[in-house]
Amino acid sequence: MYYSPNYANSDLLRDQKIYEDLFTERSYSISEDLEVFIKEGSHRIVLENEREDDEAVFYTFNINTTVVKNRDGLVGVVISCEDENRSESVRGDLRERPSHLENLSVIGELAASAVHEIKNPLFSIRGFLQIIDNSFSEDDKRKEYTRIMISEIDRLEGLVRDLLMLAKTRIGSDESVTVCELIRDIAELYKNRMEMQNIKFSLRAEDESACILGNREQLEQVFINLIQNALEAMENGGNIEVVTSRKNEKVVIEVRDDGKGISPEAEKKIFSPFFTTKKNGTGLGLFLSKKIVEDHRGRIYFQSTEGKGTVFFLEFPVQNGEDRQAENPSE
Amino acid sequence: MGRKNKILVVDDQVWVRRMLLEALSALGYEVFGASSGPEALQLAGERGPDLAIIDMSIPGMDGLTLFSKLRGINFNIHGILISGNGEKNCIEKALKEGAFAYLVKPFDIGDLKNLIQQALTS
Repeated sequence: MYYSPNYANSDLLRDQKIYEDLFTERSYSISEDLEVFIKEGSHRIVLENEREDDEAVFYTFNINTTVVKNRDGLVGVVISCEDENRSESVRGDLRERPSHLENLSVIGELAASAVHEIKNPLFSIRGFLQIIDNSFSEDDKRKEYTRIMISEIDRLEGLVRDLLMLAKTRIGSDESVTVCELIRDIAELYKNRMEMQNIKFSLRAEDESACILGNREQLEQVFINLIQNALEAMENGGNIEVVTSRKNEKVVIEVRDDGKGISPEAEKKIFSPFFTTKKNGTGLGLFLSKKIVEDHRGRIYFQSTEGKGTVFFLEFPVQNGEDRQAENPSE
Repeated sequence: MGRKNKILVVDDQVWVRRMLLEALSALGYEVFGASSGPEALQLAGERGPDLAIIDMSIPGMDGLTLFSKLRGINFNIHGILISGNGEKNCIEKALKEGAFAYLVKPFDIGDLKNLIQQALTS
């Protein structure tokens, strides 16, 4: 597909439907999400359609966008839409993993053992460095070197931890996760730090009991990354507000901060691996978060104004009451 | 000054054990190390430590089992469990079993020092 430069106003695009024959009632127009696709380069969408026998079927598409430019600027946008051709029944087992993912879980287990083996030497190096560091007086130049080495070890440790989380994203069982509960738990973890930094936290929930189906540890990691980024963007205090709401069959979570915002140059790269603007960042936090969200059939995007703040939006398919009852028949 | 507090360090990683022994010795504690559960039990019987720093995965038995056996010898011994694994359920289990603290490797020696002081004065 190829579209003209003023893609947002293009009638051609607005009317473009994908798989019109499949989605008789709820056809999907790419233009709804085009801005996001272009910003992120690639995206995965999951569409739901009801069959005649009332079984809902999911269709997954991979959308890739490439902006075409010449010396005069934007020429157009090439959009490729690949049908993953994978459909699953809602009432079947959503947690069933294809076999290639089982190989990934072996890699995940291997990575977990490797991390354990890496952490021990890192720890002994760090400890001996601290012993050496303590033996130098404050004005000794060598103390600066030991401090650098210790902070570099901490960076390596962060990297190893994030890589492990990445390797583990396909492992673990799904459970029913109550969004508000999860967010409150994480806010509690950062309570002291928020007080110290003079940051006010609030949670506004439209539906306290809204649940998503997923791996709690991984979902926690996503919100830890977002809250931590928000804290780091607000060195001089401010507000973090989390708002949850329901939009059709989705749970939408907004994580808002009034920190320093994201620069236009950084905006393009924030989901790329190893991109960081922090002194000791690993550059894997948001990359990992995006992967986890997409593994949970969700999407993540953001709006930011430099100097004013950032909002991250997360959308997940809502887990309805029927699914939860099937999972816990005693309830 | 009273007697030096005694600390037992149990970790099968030779350089981790050595580093902890050196760091704690520099802080003025009487220290001794073991690389396995059975060795730790024998040493504890002979020397009566006030506090034990135990890695969660050591040969012979797991760190929590060792800690409960050490409490069988001396119920007042303090335990600080250490591990490369920071999973929430491991931490919760250790604290429920009566451990004073659980530290995820690599941690800061200054943090360990503070925790030991807190444990020994509690």
